Amino acid sequence: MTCDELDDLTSALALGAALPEEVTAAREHLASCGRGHPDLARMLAIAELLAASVEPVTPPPGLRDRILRAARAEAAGAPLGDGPAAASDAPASVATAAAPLGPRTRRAELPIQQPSGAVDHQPTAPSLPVRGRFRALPAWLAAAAAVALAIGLGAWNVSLRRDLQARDDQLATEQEALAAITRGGQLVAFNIVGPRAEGAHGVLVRPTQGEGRPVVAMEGLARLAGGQVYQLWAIHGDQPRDLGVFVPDGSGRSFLTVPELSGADAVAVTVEPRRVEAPTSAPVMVARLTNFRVPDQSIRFTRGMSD
Amino acid sequence: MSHDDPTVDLVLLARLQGGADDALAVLYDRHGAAAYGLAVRLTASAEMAEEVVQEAFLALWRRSETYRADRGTVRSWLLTVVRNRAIDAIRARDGRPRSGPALPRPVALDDVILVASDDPEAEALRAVEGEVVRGALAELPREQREVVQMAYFGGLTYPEVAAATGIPLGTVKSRMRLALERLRILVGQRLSA
Repeated sequence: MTCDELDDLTSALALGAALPEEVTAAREHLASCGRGHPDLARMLAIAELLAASVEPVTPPPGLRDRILRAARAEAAGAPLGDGPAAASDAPASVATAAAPLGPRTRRAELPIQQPSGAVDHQPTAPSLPVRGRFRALPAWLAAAAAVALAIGLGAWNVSLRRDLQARDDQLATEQEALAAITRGGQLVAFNIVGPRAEGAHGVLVRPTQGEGRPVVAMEGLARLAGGQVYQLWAIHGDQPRDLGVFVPDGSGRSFLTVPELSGADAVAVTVEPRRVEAPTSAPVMVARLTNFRVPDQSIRFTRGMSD
Repeated sequence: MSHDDPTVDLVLLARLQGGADDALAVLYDRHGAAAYGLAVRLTASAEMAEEVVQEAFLALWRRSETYRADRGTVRSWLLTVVRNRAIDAIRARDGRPRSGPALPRPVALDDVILVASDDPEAEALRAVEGEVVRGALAELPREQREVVQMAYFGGLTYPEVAAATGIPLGTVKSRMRLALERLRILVGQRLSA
C-alpha cells in the first residue's frame, strides 16, 4: 500500500470500515513508513469519540469473577490440578523466573537476568498478594530451569545475589505501589527529558497520609549492561540527594520506594556502576515534578462491588 | 474523573505485565462498564456483550506488552478491541463474516490499528463527556450521521455502505471524512459554549 492509497482510506480506517486486507496492508505500511500519517492520527482521535459516546453500563455481577478466574487459569500454564498450592512447593525460587514457555512468557533471557528470588520472600504486610505467572509453574519446567541455572551459577554468583536483592526490593515496592494506587493516592507525572528519555514514562505515587511511602514507577527504561544500575536523585537547587537505585525488569519497568520528595525541584537519573554517594556522570534522564492536570489532587477509586 | 486518568492505567498495565491479576481487576473496575456498554450497544445482546468484554480483557491480560503508551490510552485501546470483537461477532451471527473462518478466533491485539499519537488535539478529545458527543452526533447532517452509524456501529465496510445506500464508493469515503471533521467541530463548539 502506498502513502496515497492509505491517505485515501483514512476515514474508513478510522471508522473501522475498511476491508480486512486493507487494514493489514495499512498496518504494514505504517510499520515501515518514515513519513508518518498525522491525518490518520487525527481521524483516529476523533473516532475514539464514538466509543465514548456510548453510555457505560454496569456489567452483570458474575462477569468480573469469570474474567479473573480465566486470567489466573491462563497464568498458571499447563494445569496440574494443584492450583496455587503448587506455588509453595515450587523448587528453587530463582528457577521459577525461567519460564520460557507458556502463553504468558515473553522473555527469552537467561534465568540469571530475571531473578525472582522474591517469590520466596513475600512480604507479609501488604493486603494485596502478588499472584501471577510465578505461582503455579509446572514442576517439570521449574526442574529444567533449575538445571540450566546450576550450570552457570558459579560465574554469576555475585551479580545474582545483588540482582536478587534488588528484585526483592523491587517486588516489595511493586506491591506498595499497587496498594497505594488501589487505596487512592496522589499522582504526580514526570516530564522526562534527557538522552535516555525517549519512550520513558514515570509517575510518582504519593499515598494518602499514613499509608506508606511514595513510590516512583517508571516505564520504558533501557536495560543496562554489566552490573550497572540506575540511581535516582532528588535535585534541590543544584544539590543531588540520593533516593536509591533501581534495575528495570525485562519489560523496562521499575518501581522504587523513595523518601519524601517535598522541596525537590526535580529528579534525575544517572547510570552508575553501583550505588554511589554522588553522581559520577551527567544524568541520563531529568524530570521536573509537575502536578497532574486534575485540579483535585486526591484521586480515589474503589474496587468492584463483588469484592 | 480518575477513570479517565491515563497515567494510572500505565502503572496498572506495568503491574499487569508483571503477572499481577490484581491489576487486571482494577482495570476492569475502571473500564468494564464502558466496555460492556459499548459491547451491548453494538451487539444488542447481553450474552454476546459479556463474551466480547471477557475476550477483550483476556486479550489485554495476554498481550499487554504490545501496548505502547505513546499510541493512545489503554482505554481507547481496550474499547477498540471491544468494538472489533463485537463487530466480528455480529457479522458472524448475521452470516456475513468479515474474513476467513467463522468464530471463534482469538483476539489479536494487533488488530487494533494505532498510530503514534502526534495529534495535539487527541488529549483534549479524550476528556470529552459522552453526553457532549451524543449531542454533537445528533447535530450531524443526516447523511453523514447515517454513514457513521452504518460503519462504526453497524460494522459495515465502506463498499457495503455503498451497496446499501446506492452511493458511489468515493462519495462514501468522503462522506465519512466529512462526518468525522464535522463531529470534531461540533464537539468543539459544545465544549466552548
